[in-house]
Amino acid sequence: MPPGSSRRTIRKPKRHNVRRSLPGRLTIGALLAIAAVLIVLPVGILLLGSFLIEPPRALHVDWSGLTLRNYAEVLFDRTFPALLGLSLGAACVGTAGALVIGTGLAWLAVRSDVPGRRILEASAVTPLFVSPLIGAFAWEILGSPQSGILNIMAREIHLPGSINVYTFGGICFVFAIYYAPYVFLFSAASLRNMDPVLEEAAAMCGASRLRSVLDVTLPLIAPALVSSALLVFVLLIELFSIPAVLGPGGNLNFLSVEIWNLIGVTPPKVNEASALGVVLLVITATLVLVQRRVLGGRSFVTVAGKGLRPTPVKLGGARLPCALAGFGYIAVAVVLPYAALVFIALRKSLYFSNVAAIVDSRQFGVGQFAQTLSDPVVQTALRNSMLVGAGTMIFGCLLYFAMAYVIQRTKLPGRTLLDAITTLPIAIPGLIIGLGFLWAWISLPIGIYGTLWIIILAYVAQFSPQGVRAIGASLIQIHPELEESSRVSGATMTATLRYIVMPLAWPGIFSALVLLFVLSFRELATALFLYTSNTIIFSVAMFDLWSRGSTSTVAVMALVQAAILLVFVAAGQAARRPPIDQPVKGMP
Amino acid sequence: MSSQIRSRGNRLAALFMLAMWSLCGGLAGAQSLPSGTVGGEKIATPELVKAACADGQVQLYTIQGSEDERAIVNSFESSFPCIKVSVISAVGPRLYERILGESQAGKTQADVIIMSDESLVKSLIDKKILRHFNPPETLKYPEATKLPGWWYTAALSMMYIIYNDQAVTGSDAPSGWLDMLDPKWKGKIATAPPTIGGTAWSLMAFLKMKYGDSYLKRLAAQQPKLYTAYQPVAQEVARGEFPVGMIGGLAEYPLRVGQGAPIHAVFPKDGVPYTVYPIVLTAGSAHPHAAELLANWYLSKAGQSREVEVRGAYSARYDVPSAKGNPPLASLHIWYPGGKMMAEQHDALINEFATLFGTK
Repeated sequence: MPPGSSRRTIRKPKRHNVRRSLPGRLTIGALLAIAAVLIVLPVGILLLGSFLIEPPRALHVDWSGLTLRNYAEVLFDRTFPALLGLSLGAACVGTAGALVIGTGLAWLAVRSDVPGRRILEASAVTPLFVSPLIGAFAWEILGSPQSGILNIMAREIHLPGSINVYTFGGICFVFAIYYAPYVFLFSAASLRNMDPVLEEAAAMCGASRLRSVLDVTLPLIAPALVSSALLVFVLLIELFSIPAVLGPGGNLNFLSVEIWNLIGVTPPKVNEASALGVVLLVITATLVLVQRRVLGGRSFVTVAGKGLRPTPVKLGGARLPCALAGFGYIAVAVVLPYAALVFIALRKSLYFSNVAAIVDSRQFGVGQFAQTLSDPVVQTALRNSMLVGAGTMIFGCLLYFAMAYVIQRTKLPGRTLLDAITTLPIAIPGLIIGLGFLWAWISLPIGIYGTLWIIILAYVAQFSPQGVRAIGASLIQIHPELEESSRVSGATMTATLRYIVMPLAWPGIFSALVLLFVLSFRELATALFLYTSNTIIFSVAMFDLWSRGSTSTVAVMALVQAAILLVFVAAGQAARRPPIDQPVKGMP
Repeated sequence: MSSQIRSRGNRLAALFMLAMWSLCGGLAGAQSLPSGTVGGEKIATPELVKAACADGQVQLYTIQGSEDERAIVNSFESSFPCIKVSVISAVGPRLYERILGESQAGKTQADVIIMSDESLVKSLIDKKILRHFNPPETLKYPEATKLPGWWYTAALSMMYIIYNDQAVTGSDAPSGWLDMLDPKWKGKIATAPPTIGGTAWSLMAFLKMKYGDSYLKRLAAQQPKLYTAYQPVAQEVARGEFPVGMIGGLAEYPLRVGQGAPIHAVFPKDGVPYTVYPIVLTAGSAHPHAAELLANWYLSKAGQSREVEVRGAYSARYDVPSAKGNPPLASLHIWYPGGKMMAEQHDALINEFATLFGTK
């Protein structure tokens, strides 16, 4: 049963029959043209590059160099099976971990009487504000085998064993804790909308609590679990930052990092990187298609209102252990990493090998904060990231609204194609698509190269899967009769959009605005080929400093980034109207 | 009549004022132009300085970290306040790819480039992306550190051994390359493969040349951890995750000397391989004069001293002292493969390494 469908209308929303209208055709024509330039051109040029000897830089294509050699080099390399196996294996285990944590947390927060469940519900998505790069960086400080703070402390009190984040298990653990919130969002929404009568019936028939959860609750939220699992798997398999930081310590090489390495060898093997990018694209696109099939044909209409609030399940003696487990997760994913970052940001020397050195008060000071915040490059990068965030938010939302409306609410020919195109970027790693943007757009006579606009447009293209679906999800929830009534009463299309659709879809649009800001502020890989000295952004500046070993400066910047995102999201939560229940990809 | 006289007088006064203003302005202009002599070395003619100031800015693409690079070029801006330097930093191959992309679109942004690999510079020359230049101090640069008319090395990066002096003490400390084959270091060495650039390639080429084919095989048996850059190697040794590392010095110096990390550097007596950091000018540059002035400054004693001070690099110029904490250049037994050897053996060495170490 899909989320939000129990006991409520299952009728599919009607679509407007604007097939023959000229404005309708012009609209979809314009949207397809924009999608072609923003998404198809960069992806297409990468695809083409994977079949060429010389990269198609600035759209210069040497057709005489058509070849399959890049694929042969990549696929028949003796390290490829291990590379693929490790990447798929870690994504599988990471997804499984995220499912267990995310679902468990959602069940505790939504369906149980665990103490502090409101706080748990509110804080369960906070790990999303920790960018994966920072999460990996913080866990390296905490859990590296010799100098990790946790290991130093454990050695001091003679605890047996140690944590090692440079292992397969360590990386999967970091994957799981930072991607569990995606599962939480899906399953919490599903659990909130679940019909409690079924669980009550199971209990009345004598089923134990555990049996009721396994036989009734889990099957009811299965669609949410499957779709969130697929999403997390896709995101993990193309994730760069965590494997890049933690992989080399254990000689663990991942597909996404290998793409980065191929562009970083002398001479750069850009075409092979494109071919490997296409391999990744095939894997992720297949999973995206599976996800669409899983969700396809289901209704998400929930505007008719909710059923009864499910009665919380009484945990009895398990309340306290469950609360410890729930808040333990928040401690591990958020509190500990940020404590480590604050510690590093305040320390003068970053090198310590015992507890006495860790707590040495002479080593602490706030000078690093003043120094970092007064650095002109940090200031420029911060200003640029705010501008890019605002630009991506505004232009992205306008475009995504138009696209989502056409896809969800009309019968215009070409809408399915538009839907497919806007899904495409989620299947491509940011690293490689950044190169596609550079090649595709640098020669366009619109003068955007070297300005913030190229980064904004790249982000608008890259985040279209999340943006279009976030707004689309809120459009699906609005019953079409409301629009039909408006049109029957003589309102124009514009007036209907202005007075009916926009106000009703506003919570979803607002969520999309917040999401876009968060995503664009965190994004790193896409901008690496597009920034110039005047358009450097915060995450790139942070990566540059991290690469150079300026650890404490990076820690200060990570804290600034988190503070900005938290303030922004908190202000967004306070400002928006009653929240929607429908989760969307990557939605905080 | 009197009004005519008054009018003529006014005109004369106006002409006089104009002449005085022009003179003063001209003098002021001449006075505000920076000198072409820096640190006692003449690096530019007044005409070049004037034209460079008219350019007003210069774009530097560099493989050196942007923070370091800004610290270096700030000194240039102090000497030439009329010119603003913008810096883009990336590792060599990615910088190279970006330069080619911009060049093919006819939108070259870089005026000056500092690369870390002679082979990539040769490729840029072949693709006609670079232009000739002849800095005044060319004779100060030894033969292996320049391709006259095309590039001169902005820095030398030495390859040597580092160890964590809290984890390794006394006689346990390595003193030369052969010590790295001691079984006690099995699984405890951090380094980088030769695919990451000229620095790492030169190190592996040196070890093979100096100790024979078996060295790399025995090193592979030590199961070193291979990072894709030298910065994490320095970090991991400093943090004590790995007791020893084989490294390009520019990555470890800021930690050892700048941050006081517990790193000890060993410059092996039996040889210290190095690589060059060619500085080049682009053809079709938007700011050609400022570019030339910046490159001249970079290769001057003042520029080289700043590079050495900020990065712990070595200068190819023997009149520039080594950085604090580093031994003098003259005391090192340095070795460089040279462009010819790199071109001839580049792929073979990388393939051999990949086979031995099981990397791609």
